[in-house]
Amino acid sequence: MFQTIIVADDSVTARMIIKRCLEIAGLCDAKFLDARDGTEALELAKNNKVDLLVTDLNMPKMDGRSLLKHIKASPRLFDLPVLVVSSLTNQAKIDELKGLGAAAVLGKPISPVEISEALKSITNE
Amino acid sequence: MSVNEKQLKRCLAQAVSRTLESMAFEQGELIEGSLEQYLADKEKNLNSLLSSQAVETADSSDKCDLDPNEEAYPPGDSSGEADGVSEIEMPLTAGIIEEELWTSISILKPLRGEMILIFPSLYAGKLTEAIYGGLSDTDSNEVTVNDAVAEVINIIAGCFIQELIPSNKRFELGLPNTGWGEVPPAEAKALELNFDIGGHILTAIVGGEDFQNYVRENDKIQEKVS
Repeated sequence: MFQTIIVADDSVTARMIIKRCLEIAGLCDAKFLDARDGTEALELAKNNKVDLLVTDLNMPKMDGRSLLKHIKASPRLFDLPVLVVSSLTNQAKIDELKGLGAAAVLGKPISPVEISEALKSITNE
Repeated sequence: MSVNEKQLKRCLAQAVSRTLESMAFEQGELIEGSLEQYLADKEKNLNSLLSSQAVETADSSDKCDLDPNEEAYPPGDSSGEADGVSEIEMPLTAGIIEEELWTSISILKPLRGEMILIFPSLYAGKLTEAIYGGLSDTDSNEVTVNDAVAEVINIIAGCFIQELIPSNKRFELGLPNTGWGEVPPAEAKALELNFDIGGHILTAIVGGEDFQNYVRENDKIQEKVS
């Protein structure tokens, strides 16, 4: 289902944790594409066949919110599910991001169980 | 201590504990009162433990089934243990003043201020290893440690603000900064907490005029967080 996944976060540590959680959640054979900011993530999404975008919000150059808006405004990328993983999450933020088209929003620190639940909800949509 | 100061302390302590536990399976003990007193008490306890161990060693040595006429150590043995008291090995790091690693993050909304964490370098390395689940020599470099502690403060600051403000309020944080050595002066300090994590002292500071006013229960600030 999720064969190619973009993981966008300016922190190498955060990307490592997200990838590890995704692997534990059952995506050990997925191909991960790393992006350090929203601009890189958008380029990767445009130039590759991608099944899922996992993004942080607080990033240099282009933040996750702008990235989400770009993705949802693009006719070609509109269907790409976006999972937001950020330390900036509370109900107000979750509502805002879901309104912008995020498939799911998780607060850091994340766990494999939470990621697994989020993937299930995205698959069922 | 005002109600708000207690609230700030509770939120910060929870944010630090939860983050370290979930990211690195570390348990931190909040140090109540002055850090100097805590360290002095700890040193006193350690010295008394070492003394009692030395006495125990001497006692057990006396009880050995030795020929009283036989010398425990032959002449010329310079091990220094002939008096029956073993030399107690001190950790290699004892007495070494560790360089500190600091990381800071701006808090932009709904209150403006900053958070700073100060780590002893040895602990920063251990924490990074715990997060990564073991590091190869090539990975265990300054860049990786800096990145790991920056992610730690990002998460702690997020948890702290989520605890502090109602969930219908939006909040914003800046990007973390990290450095070694002298810690940049904190904005008007509102709260400083110290944690003992396996013998390492982690310091967490929240500063900024808004947070100082929050502690003073200023009405305008109260509106922003309610």
